[in-house]
Amino acid sequence: MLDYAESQAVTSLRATLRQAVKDHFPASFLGAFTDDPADLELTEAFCRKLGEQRLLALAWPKEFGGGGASSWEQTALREEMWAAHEPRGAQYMGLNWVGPVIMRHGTDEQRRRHLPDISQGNVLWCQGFSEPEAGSDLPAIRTRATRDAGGWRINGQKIWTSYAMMAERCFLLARTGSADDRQNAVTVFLMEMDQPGVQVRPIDSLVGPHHLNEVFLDDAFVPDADVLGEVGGGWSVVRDVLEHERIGIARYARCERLLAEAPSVLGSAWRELPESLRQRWATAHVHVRQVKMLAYRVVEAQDLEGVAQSDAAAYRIAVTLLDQEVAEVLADILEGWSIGSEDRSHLFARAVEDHLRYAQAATVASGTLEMQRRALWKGLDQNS
Amino acid sequence: MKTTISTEASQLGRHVGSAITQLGGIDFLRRAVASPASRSATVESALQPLGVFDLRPLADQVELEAAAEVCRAAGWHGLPYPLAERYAHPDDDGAFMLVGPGRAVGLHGDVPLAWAGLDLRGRTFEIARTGAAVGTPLAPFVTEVDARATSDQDPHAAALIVTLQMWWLLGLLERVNHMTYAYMGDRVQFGHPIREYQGLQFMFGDAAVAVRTFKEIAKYTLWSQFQRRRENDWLVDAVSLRVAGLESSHTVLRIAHQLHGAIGFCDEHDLSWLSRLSHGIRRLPMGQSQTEAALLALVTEHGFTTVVARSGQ
Repeated sequence: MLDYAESQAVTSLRATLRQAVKDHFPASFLGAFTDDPADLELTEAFCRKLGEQRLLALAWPKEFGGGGASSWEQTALREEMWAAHEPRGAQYMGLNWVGPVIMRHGTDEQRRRHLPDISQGNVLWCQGFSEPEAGSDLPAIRTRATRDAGGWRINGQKIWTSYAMMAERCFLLARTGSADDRQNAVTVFLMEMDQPGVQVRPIDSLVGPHHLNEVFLDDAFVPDADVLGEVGGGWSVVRDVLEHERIGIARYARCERLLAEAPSVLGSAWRELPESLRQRWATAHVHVRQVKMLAYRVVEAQDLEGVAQSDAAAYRIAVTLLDQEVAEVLADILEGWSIGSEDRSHLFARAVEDHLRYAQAATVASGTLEMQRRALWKGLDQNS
Repeated sequence: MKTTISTEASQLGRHVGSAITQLGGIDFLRRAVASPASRSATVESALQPLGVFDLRPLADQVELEAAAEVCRAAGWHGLPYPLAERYAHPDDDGAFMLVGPGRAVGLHGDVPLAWAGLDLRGRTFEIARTGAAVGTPLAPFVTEVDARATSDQDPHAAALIVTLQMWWLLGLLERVNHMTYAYMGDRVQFGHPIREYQGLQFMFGDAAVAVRTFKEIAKYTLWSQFQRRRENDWLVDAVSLRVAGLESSHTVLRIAHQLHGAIGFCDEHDLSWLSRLSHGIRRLPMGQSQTEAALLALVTEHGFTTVVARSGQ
């Protein structure tokens, strides 16, 4: 029987998290990655605080430093954090997919070594997948790992690597087999970033600092103990990563919050907006609900029968397009204020401007819209 | 939290689907268009033994879910019978039709039931007379009506009929996508089944997403209709669902026709019949833009429930 009522545990968790955010951050906070380094420092301290309370890796097993909470509590955590401009900063990657994938594919020693640090907010990860010649076509990667005493030497270049400047570890994909083998020739390495063979160059961008970087690998070293899964078995790991990435971010939550705030922020000016624009706003609320309910279906499937590839891809398509639709509606509502303000007291205008910039990348980041459409079709084929 | 319909409700939906298949499925729709007067007795005698007309959707959530699955199964086959309209009415021989501000017409007014009217704000109407069928290709079961406003309100009944009509539409759109996917495997052009062309795969993907997101909000809205403490949400949620359903219809049917090409318009093909039948619910009591305007009016009055706040009041 259908039941969309929140449990008391979820409602309490939301209250706890909202209070924690309110206590820790100024109202003007717009995420970790701004021009003000204080924002990043605040998020790092916040993560450690959540980690101490076992709220960071909420749904992880307790043995790995998690809270052992339900998937619905984990979903509420994702929603509350994204709606509050992701005050966990780059930690969400470690929590959403690096940790879970190490849990599944890692050795006992790797789990013991990496998972507690992630769950405590003590380590930042970046993802070394894309390369200049291998974006959507990930099997075309050229970065090569070759055998060396006790481990592997890595040479090549990664690009678009978010948070690489600050990350301590990189979840790196490199070629360990022949150049023309697209199936069994790549391996995942859990590479330390702080070593002479790793150079990071930031790329200034529309989406803000720290989101895009180049990583140059010149004889970087990874010990055997940091190979994740089988040598040559990287694709089965990557498939898991992509599945977690598709459903990991509750983008709809920030959309919902900003839409809900718009009428009260505008006050009497709200009624003076063209009715057609207010209709778009109301319809956007409907779209948020549609996407949120699809997310809930996926969360439940994850717990029960497993997520169908087509459902995960459908959600990703819907949520990224929603992000962009809501950005446009809010920008139209705010008109000239949507392009932002240096005045930190203009909280809503600055939040909409941030959303507008960030949403433009939604259909590119973590797998383009077109790759999601390919995955959707493949999933439909598998189900038919 | 549970996002799955009860097993009993799903089972009833399957039984109803089998019964409609026995009637001829979409061929029954073809026959009903040729001879509308005979359809109600045939449908009633086929569905009565399954207990379809004994369901009390507002008495029990499982019965509400069962009513939704009945409507969905009927939509899958394009069954031209006022199920949602009957479920929304408390009397065994009664039915509500949705009444709009424009042309005085309603769906299935020719079926001999004790008709009353409702609009999307929950205002009730007396149906003084139901007249002749409009009889156009897009309106085989639409009749002229004489509707007179009363001073009564029944927003929950209005919400229920809108919700269950959308479950009927959901079934129809699922069938349309099913047909389109199969056709993409059958139709060969340039030496290949058209399913092999990525441009067409992506088009169909949009239709698949449209139905998936419609289905999930349909389930949420159904649940919402049974939450006694959410009285102010009933109609807002139902009209929200209608907005979602009309958008989804536009996407799914546009893509289905485009991918089927000319054959999709031919009466020998089932798509032509489901497509034309969909217009009754999609255009009455009002189409996309006016439904969105109605939603805005409702949200302005009652707000829209979100996780973070009650938005819009």
